[in-house]
Amino acid sequence: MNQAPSMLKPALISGVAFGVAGSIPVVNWINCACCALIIGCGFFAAFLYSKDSRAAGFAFRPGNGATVGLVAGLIYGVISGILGGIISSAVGMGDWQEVIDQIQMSGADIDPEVLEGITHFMESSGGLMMILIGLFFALVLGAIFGTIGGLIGGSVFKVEPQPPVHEQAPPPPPPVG
Amino acid sequence: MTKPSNPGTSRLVLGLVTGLAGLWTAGVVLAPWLAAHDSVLGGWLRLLYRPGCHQISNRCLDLGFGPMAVCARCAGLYLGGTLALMWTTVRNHPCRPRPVWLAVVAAPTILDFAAGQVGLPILGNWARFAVALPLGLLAGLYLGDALIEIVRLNSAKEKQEYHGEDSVG
Repeated sequence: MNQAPSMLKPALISGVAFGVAGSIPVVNWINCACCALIIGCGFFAAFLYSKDSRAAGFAFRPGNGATVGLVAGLIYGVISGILGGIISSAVGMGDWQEVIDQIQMSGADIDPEVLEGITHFMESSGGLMMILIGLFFALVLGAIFGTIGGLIGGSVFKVEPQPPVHEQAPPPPPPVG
Repeated sequence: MTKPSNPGTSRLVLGLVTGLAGLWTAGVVLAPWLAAHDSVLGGWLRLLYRPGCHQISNRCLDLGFGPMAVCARCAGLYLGGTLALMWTTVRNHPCRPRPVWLAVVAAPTILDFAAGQVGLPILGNWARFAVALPLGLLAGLYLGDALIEIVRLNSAKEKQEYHGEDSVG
């Protein structure tokens, strides 16, 4: 009997490829359109897994798509969180400064000393905090949007199970005599 | 086409997901409205949408009380997805368009995005919203189909387990 194809391979291929893309500064702008890279990661993982399933003669359903999308999204989160954190800590505090600016623009009643303290802490932690925060958000977003992409992929690339082939019994031998 | 074997459960699941999608989409309009009414919540709500959108003001739709919390393209995607989920919930029946349609409706959005990246002229805000809406609709239809299928399979499995235990007992 055939064995069901492994989910890890498509999830790894998709998660690593999209995770690297998601940590490259200009390419990751694609995520500005509803986290399109992360949804694409789950969707592509579902596509790869559906191909494997079809080849092995197994059904591929939206539930499988959601699972492989979730795993791919988590791998995306790890890769892009770590790589992106390293890149942004090497380049500067870009993202964090944007968040601070937006909080100040929103008119939120936060003591400027508190904001300054947080910024100082972030800078003094030598980028490690930036990587950890980036990793956390990348994992959460990866899990949510990867699953959504996998669900969509699961519906698009659905593979119905093949009906069992019943072998016909050979006709009885003709009566002798 | 798959029909829900447990219509009540599938409608409940679809309703819950549609409700969440509706809340998420409403927040896009609510954020500038709250900010226009001097509420601090508006700023925090806008921040919530930050990871998924660039939020460049002149690329966001404005309904009269400031730019929305996401750009016109994202607003189209969110609204399209929510409408499609609502449609699936009301019908409680999956609708799964042919996959080629996904490429057809995604092409204008991808082309517009690529044009912006290479410095070519891009669509206006309402046009970008209108172009993204069908893509969101299709994604919502596929999501609805996936949810109905998952509920159907789980119901079938539960039934099988129940009857299996019954026959053993």
